Amino acid sequence: MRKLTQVVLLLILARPAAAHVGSPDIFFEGNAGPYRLFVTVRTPRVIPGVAGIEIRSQSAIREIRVAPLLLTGLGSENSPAPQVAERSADDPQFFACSVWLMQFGVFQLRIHAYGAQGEGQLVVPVPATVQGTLRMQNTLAFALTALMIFLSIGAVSVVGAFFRDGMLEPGADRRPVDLRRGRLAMLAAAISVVGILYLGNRWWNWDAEVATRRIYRAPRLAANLESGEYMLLRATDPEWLQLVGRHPLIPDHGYLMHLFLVRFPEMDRFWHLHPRQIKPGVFLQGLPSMPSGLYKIFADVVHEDGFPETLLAEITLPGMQGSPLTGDDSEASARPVSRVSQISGVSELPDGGRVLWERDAAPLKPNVPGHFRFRVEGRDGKPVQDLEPYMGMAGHAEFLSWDGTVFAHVHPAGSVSMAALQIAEASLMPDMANLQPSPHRNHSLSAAALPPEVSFPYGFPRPGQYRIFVQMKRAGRIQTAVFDAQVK
Amino acid sequence: MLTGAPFDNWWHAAYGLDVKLKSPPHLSLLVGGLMIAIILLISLEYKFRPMMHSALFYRTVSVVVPIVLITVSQPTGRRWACSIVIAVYTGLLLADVWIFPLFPAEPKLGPVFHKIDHFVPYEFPLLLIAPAAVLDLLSIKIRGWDKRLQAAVFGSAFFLTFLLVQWPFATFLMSPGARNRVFGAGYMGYTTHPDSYYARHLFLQLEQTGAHFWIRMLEALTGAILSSGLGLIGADLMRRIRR
Repeated sequence: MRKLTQVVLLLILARPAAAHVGSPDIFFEGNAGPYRLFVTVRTPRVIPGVAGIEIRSQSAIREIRVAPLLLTGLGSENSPAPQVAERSADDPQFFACSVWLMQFGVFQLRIHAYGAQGEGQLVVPVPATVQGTLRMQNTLAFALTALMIFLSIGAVSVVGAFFRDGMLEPGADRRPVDLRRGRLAMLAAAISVVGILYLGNRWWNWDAEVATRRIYRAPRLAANLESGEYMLLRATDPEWLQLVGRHPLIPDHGYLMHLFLVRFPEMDRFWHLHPRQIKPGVFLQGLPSMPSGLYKIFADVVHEDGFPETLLAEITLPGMQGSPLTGDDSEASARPVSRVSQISGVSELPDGGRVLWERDAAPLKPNVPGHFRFRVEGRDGKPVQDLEPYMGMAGHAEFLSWDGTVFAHVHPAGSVSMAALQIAEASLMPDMANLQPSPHRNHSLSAAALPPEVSFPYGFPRPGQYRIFVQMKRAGRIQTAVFDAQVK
Repeated sequence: MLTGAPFDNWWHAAYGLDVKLKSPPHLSLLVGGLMIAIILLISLEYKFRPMMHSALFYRTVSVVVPIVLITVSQPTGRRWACSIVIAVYTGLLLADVWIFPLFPAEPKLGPVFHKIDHFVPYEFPLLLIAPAAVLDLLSIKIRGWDKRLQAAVFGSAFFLTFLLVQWPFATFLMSPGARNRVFGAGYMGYTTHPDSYYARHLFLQLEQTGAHFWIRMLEALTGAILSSGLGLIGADLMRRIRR
């Protein structure tokens, strides 16, 4: 009964938290052949569990089918029968369906689109972890308790009937000995029922505890300042170290780890760095000059099976002199959040240019997927022509809640890990990888001039206040714009 | 559902059987056969082919089957009551193994570890027919004996016969000779990983040491005797039902 309850409840209760940090839903935009699709995956709370998939197409489509496979290994070769997505009655370009994710690991959702322009496929990597357990709703608990009492009384009375009346000849009357036998049997039955319920309760609690231990929690790192200028990050969780042994980390758009440091609580200083792994689970980063304060650390990594994680740490630094930033490392300064009086759609850049957040006047709502569009203007007020790929992409955006409980690292393709996406796309065309143009043609760009707009698919996971860091590269310099958002 | 089913089953057993016993005893044997099938299904985790050379398997079957078998078959007074009950169980499972795969099917859930295009049946039935026949033969000879002695005889006979018959049959089931439509040892569900013991037709040694194995076998023998004893008590109760 409990499993059924869980399935029913998870479909109707609000989304909980996990991967990235506190942002479990997956947002993705890509091409399925001639069709551009915006895919939102509402990841299941428990495993096995149901993932809700929403797909919005930019053009007319006849049918969409979705099938879950594992991302790597044996389960990635054969597909189960695909689910046909249902078209929304209000919006002919909006489709939805549910898909069971039956085990832990990383899945790939193969989305096949059919229409007048032909057919096409795209694939979205989806990690499957347990995000939490559910408390039983009060009404259900009440109903089940009532049924349990009814059944218990019924069972005892059946036993009583059996031993009291079952052995009498038809038509015979009950004698005192029969009544006594019946009562004795009912007493024994009542004790047995109580015993069964007690043991059953213990079994339930044991199973619940096992389930709770399976909940995914972001691994923590120990962060320490060494020699006054290096930060050493060490994984302290032995289970995570074992995981890294079994599934080593792989580089994601160039680096094993993308490290984000944000000063809290004001979120007024931000760094995006790339530490070196000096041995499994141990990373070293030379720090730039940083003001004193408490810094929350978010470290994005991906395992070779496509499983992405954000590792967490904190460090209190004294004001320090460090080495200047090089390569793809970047930083930003912004107004302290406590001094943000109004939400502005414009962010001034240090070189005089600005980034504008293009959005309509509608208020921001949680769990609503959408495009976050930003336009870059130069000092002269005109859209710039000198945007370059930053680590292979038009831009990187980091969404952080002001209280530090939500962190999402998003690209123009979406909130999926680029490394996992590459694995997924490679599995889609295993024999043709050499013949086709690069599978990541959608999201890894050569160094040609980019349009002045960058767009990120995302949806805020819950109400609150957020700060968005938008990072791009202009004429060789990495620039970060900062925006705040109120989500109600 | 889970709380309701055993109570429902029990409810019908208590209220239904007394009506059914008045009608041809066939029905009680049918119900018995069904109950054995269901109970063996519930204890499924201990009954996979790779477990058939482990003592845990024999202990499970020895504890679970005699009580049901004896309770259901003894009150009918028929000569081959146990065999009929087990024949029902065997027939149900044979029908499953022989008929299900004739129908096309495809996996609906991922991940799919190997392709299938037809329904995959459950396993070939356990050779409970042998201990059932032995129990039938013995029950005539030992009728009227002291009930505890009857339990000892029934339990030991069940356990020994089952062990002597199922163990070599299990060896056969693991061999290529059983991987056909008759014995169904070649059928694998799409969630069966090719690296598993099941897919590789290997036995799983659930007991790490010889001592552990023999202790469990002893528990199986004891369990069979106790189960038979409870079955005889149950049979007695069933016989006394008048309404």
